[in-house]
Amino acid sequence: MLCQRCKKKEANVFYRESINGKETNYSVCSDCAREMEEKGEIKNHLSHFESHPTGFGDLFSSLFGAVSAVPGVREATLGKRCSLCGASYSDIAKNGKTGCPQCYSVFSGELSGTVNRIHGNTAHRGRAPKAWKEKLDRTALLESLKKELSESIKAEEFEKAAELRDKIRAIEKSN
Amino acid sequence: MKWYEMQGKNKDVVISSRVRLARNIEGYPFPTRLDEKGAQEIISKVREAFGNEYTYTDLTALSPLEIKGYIERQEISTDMAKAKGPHGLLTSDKNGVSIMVCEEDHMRLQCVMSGLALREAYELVAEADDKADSALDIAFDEKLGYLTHCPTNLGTGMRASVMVFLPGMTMSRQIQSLSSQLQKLGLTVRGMYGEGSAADGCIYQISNQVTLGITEEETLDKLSNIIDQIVVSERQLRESIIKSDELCDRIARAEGVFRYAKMISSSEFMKLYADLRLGVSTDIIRGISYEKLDSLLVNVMPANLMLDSEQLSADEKQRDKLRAEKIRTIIG
Ligand SMILES: [Zn+2]
Ligand SMILES: [Zn+2]
Repeated sequence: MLCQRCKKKEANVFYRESINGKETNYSVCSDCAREMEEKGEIKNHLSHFESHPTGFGDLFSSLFGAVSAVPGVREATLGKRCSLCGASYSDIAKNGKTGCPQCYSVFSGELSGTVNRIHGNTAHRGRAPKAWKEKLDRTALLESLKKELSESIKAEEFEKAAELRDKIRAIEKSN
Repeated sequence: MKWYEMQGKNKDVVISSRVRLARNIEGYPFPTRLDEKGAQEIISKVREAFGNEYTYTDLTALSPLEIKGYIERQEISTDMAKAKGPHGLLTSDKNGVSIMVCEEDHMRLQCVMSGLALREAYELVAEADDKADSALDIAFDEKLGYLTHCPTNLGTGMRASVMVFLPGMTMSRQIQSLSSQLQKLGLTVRGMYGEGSAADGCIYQISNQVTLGITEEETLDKLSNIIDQIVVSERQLRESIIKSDELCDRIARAEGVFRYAKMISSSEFMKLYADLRLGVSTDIIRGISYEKLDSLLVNVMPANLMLDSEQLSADEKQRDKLRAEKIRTIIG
């Protein structure tokens, strides 16, 4: 399913919003979800959610109709769930473990505090799968070539700059 | 060959080294959220990735006693035994690498070696990881590294641990301070074979706690360096404690019990084992190899005793008899 908002990326976050019994559902990509939360388009009331401890079946029934409104809920309640494993953030918070690899992008905002507490504010160093290693190496190579390019332009070595530019283009094209 | 049948480095202090990597396959929930069909798919993908060199054991088809045997030999974790869905173990006779499939993560690749051999164990497990990587779509993130069920394993997904025998530090009450020193370095120490009471057996496991922001090599170097220091100070402490006549007497008595007693309970075994191992490592006892000491650790545990003797319903008293016999056979 495509993201309802940008209509470009694959939707991997599901929201269910219920205001005074009126349900609204969103299926968006994780980038749009982050933006919507930041802009306050949807309030992030994750801890208030969980009126329906649900599995996959419930998740989809709530997404595609047949939704039971929760009586007496005045505030907006939001349920964000990972589209691959169906976990909500409160599922993850309950035992401190995620539901699937995708949870880390769906709940990146919510999980960053936990990750920082465990490991400190840091990023991965070390081994990587082959597919990533090539990508990471290419990113590093591009960065150093671009730096070299701007230096050679400054030094007015235009012949070298042209060479570097072609090299950079070739690498970017192969991406 | 099993780790406890092999020779190793610094065996007077280091019993074994283990390196474990957590890996998951993109596009599937982790085992706790995986349905039966998904788990079977993971299992067949992993089996295919590792090929004929590895043998698959369906752990759900084994009896509780057999499972306990695997745990006692440290071939699977206690968490693996608790897994609800389909799960199993891939083992290779060639390199001693094994893969727990659908434990907490889709794959836990591990290698155990005798003595201090973290580098060697890592190289073997990394080789297996390459195999998995070339056949499977491994879940990874540029910033978080390998994506794992528990956020504590993010990054390298690597847990390196060393099982050490520290009677010197235990008897001179230095474990507590060692533990707090290690904690500052991102390492943990916990007692083994002693229901929390670390003193039993004087055996501890020291492992890395941090997995994100530090490379595999750095982690292994850090742990190896610390172990080297522990080896030096443990040896010094032993020099001074074995001057005590009481301790020498205790060591000789331990050997006597192991050679001649007819019944030995598991708690008595654990206490005397520390004395015996200390006696061997300080040359007070001669003629018992470290390989024999290591296989004692594995083979006199309840489940393995029962499986080995084919007395599957042996009660505690019968087990104590079996244990005494087994010890005699092993130490010869
Ligand atoms: Zn979008
Ligand atoms: Zn998920």
